[in-house]
Amino acid sequence: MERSSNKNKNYLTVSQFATIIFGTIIGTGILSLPNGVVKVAHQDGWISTLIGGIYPLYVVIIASYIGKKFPNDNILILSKKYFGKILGTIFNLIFATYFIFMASVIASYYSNLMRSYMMGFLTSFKFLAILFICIIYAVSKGLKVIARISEICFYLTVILLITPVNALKFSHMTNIYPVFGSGVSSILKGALESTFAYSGAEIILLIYPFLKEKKKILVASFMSITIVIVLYVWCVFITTYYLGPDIVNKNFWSFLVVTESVSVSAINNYRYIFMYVWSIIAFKTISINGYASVFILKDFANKIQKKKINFLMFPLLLYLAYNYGNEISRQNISNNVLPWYILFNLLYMTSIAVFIFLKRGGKA
Amino acid sequence: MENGDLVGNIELIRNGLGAQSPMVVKHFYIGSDQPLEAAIIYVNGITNKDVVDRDILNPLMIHIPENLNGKANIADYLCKRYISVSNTLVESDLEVVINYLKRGKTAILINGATEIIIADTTGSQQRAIMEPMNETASKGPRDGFVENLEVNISLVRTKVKDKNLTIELLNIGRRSQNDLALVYINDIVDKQVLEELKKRLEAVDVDAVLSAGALDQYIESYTYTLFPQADSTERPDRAIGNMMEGRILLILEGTPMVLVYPATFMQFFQAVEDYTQRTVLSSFVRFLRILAACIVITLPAVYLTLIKFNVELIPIKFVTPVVQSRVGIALTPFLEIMAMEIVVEFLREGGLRLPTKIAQTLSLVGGIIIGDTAIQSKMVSPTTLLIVGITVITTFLIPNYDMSLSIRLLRFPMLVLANIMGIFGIAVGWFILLVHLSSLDSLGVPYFEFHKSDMKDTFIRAPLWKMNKRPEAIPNTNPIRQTDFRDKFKKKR
Repeated sequence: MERSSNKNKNYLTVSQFATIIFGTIIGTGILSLPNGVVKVAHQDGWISTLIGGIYPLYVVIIASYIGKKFPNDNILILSKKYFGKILGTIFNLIFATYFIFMASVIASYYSNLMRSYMMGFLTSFKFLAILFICIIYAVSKGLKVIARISEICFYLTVILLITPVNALKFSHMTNIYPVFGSGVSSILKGALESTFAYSGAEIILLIYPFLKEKKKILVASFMSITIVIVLYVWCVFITTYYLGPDIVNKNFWSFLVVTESVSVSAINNYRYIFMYVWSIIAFKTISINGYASVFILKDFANKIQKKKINFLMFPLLLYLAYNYGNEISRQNISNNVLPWYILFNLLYMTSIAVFIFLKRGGKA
Repeated sequence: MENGDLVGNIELIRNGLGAQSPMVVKHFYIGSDQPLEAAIIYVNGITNKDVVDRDILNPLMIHIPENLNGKANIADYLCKRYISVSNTLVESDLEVVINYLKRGKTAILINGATEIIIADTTGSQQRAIMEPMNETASKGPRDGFVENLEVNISLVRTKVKDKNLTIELLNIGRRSQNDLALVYINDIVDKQVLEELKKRLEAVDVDAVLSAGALDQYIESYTYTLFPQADSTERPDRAIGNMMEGRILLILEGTPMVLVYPATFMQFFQAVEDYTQRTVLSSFVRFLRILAACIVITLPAVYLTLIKFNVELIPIKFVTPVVQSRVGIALTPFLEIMAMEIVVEFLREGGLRLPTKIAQTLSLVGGIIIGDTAIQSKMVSPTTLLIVGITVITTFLIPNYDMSLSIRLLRFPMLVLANIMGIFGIAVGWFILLVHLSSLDSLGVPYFEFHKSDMKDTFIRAPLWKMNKRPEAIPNTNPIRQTDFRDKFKKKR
C-alpha cells in the first residue's frame, strides 16, 4: 500500500498505459473513418469496423506475449537480439519511420481539416509549423507528460464522441437496413479498410517496460482496445444511420456532419466546439507518435545527439507533412503507404514472437 | 566554558552576541554569610522583564538563607531550589548559551561555576491571534497564524494531539538566523519528500529569509513557471487539513504565512468552506471555480476569435447588437480588448496598497468614470467591456491569490495567440498549458496528475465520510484515514 514519490517517477500507471494506447489509435482518423468503410461495405460498415478490430487485438496479444517473456526489454532490444545487430537495426529504423509517417500524416490531415473548416486564413506551412512547435515541446517533456495528457484526452474523447447521440433522433432505419445486405465479401473488404484506422496499437511494444504493474499489460491494453472498437463501431454506425450510406462519401469528414445534429443555444454551430476540443486530441495523438519515433531514434544516437533529436524532428516532420499536400493527395499517399507499414508491423512483431517461442522451446 | 571567571565569561558572551548588542548585565550577590558573586544576562526587548524580576532576581537576591560556598553542582541546585521559572536548564557550551540569549532567554552566571543556568523568559511584543484578513471563512475557526514561531507551533499543537506530530527546528539565513519549523505527522508523511525538502532547506545560504514567499522561491524547482509551487495559508485549520493529507508544513519565524509542501495544482481550487458546508453546495461551488478559471483564460480570446475570424458563429440575434455596437470604433478588436484588460490590471495593482479611503476614489474613477467614458468616446464597444468585466469578476473566484494572479496573467498570451491564429491559437495555448502543467513537479511529486481515487475531492467534493483514503496525488505512508463508520448506525435496507 505504500506510495512513494520517486518510485513512481518513471513508471506509468495502468490507466496511463491504457490511455496512451487508446490515444495512439484514436486520433483524427475517426472523423473520416466512415468514408472508407462505408464506401466498400455500404450500410454494413459498422460490422466491418467490428471485424477490423481483430488487428489491434492481435497486436495486443502478441505484445502481451512478448511483454510476459521479456518484461524489461522493449522490442528494439529484442529485435537486435533475434535478427542480429544489422538486420535488427534496419527493422527498428523502419519501425521508427512508421511513427514518423503516422505523426506527419495525422498532422497533415488535421491541417487540411482545420483549414477547410475554419482556419482558411492561415497557410498550410504556417499552420504546420506552429503545430509542430507544440508537438516538439510536448515530446521533449517525456513520456510521463504525454501519459498525463493522454489521460485527460481520453475523457474528452469519450465525451465528445458520445455527444452526437442526439443524431439518433433524426435518423432513419432504412439507412442501416438490410443488415448483412451488402454481402460477406464487401464486409470483409470493409474490415480490411478499417484496419488502417486501427493502426497505432504497436506503441505497446515500445512502452510496456515502463508499466509499473507488468502483470496488467494484457488487461490494460485489452480494455483500451475494446473501448476503441466500441467507439469506432459507434461512430461508423451513427454516421451511416444518420446520413445513409450514399451521403457519407459526399463529405471528407463525414463524422463531423453528424456532430452538426447537436445544437447548442449559445453558439450557432456545435461542430466548431467539437473541432476546437478535438484539436487537443489531435495534438496528443501526434505527440505520442512523435514521441515514439524520437524514442526509437534515440536508440541509434549517442549521448550528445540525444538532445538534438527533438530539434531535428521538427524540420523533418514539417517537411513531410507539408509535402503531403491537399486532402486528396494526402489520402492517396496514406492509402498507398499505410498497408505496407501494417504488413511490416505484422511481420516484425509476429516473427519476434515466433523467435521467442522457438528459442524458449529449444532451451527446454 | 573553560573556567568560572565571571567577568571573563561575560566578556565572551558579549563578543558572541556582538559588541553593539543591547545586552543587559546585572551583577548581584547570592547566599548569606559569604555571598557569591553572580550576574544575569539577557537581550533587551525580547525578554519578559517581569518574569526576570519576579522569578529570578527576587528569590536569588532575597530569599537564599544559606551559605552557598563550596556547594557542588550549584547551578543545578539553584534551579531546583530557588528559581521559580518552569523552563530552566543548565548548559556549559557558550555557543548554545548565546543562541538561547538571542531568542529571549536569560542566562544566570555564578562566579566559580563552569555551568550557566538558562531560564525561559521569552516575551517580546507580538500581534494578537486574530482572523486572517486574506482568508476568511463564514463557517470555521477564527484564529490565524501570527509572526511568532512558538505561538504558531502551539496553534497547530493544540489542534493535533497525536503523538506522531513531529516538529523539527532548523535555522536559516546567515545573518537573520531565522528559526524554521518543519511540522508533519511522522507516520503519514513520505520520507523521500521530507528528505528532499530538508536537503533543499539546508542548502539555502542567504543573508536573510524575510518572508515565506522568498523562502519558497529559494527552494522551488521551476523558477520561470507562472504557477505557485507551494501553497501558503494563514489558517491553522487549513494547514492542519493539508498536513493530515501527508503534506509538510513549513513555519518560518517572523511571518504568518505557513508554507505547505508538496503542492498540487488542484489544491489551489479548494477552499476551507468546501469542507464546512454541505456536500452538494461545495461541489457546485467547486465546479464554479473551475469554470471560472477556464473563463478567465479563454473568454476574451474566444470573443476575439468570434468577432475577428468567425463572425458566422455568433448567433443571428446577437449579430446585429454586436456589430452595431462596434460601428465607429477606431481600435482593432485585439487592441480594444488588450487596452481594457490592461486598464483593469492598472486598477487592481493600483488599488492593492492604497488606504481604504483613497481606494474608494480609485474604484469610483476606475469603475464608473472610465467604464462609461470609454464607451462614449468610442474607444471600446460595450460588448467588449462586458466580456472584460466578466473576466475580471471570475478571477476573484479562485480562492488562492497566487493562483488567481497566475491564471489572470495567462489570458494575455492567450489573447495574442487568438489574434494570430484564431481558435487554433486557443487550442495551441491550452495544449501548451496542459503540457507545461504536466511537466511540473513539487519536490518530486507530480503537480498536475489525476488519480481515479482522488476524484472524490477534485472536481466535486464527495461526502466527507466517503473519503476513506488520503489523496493519492500526495505520497504518504499510511493511506487509510477513516473507516466506513456510518455503517454502524445506518440501517441497511
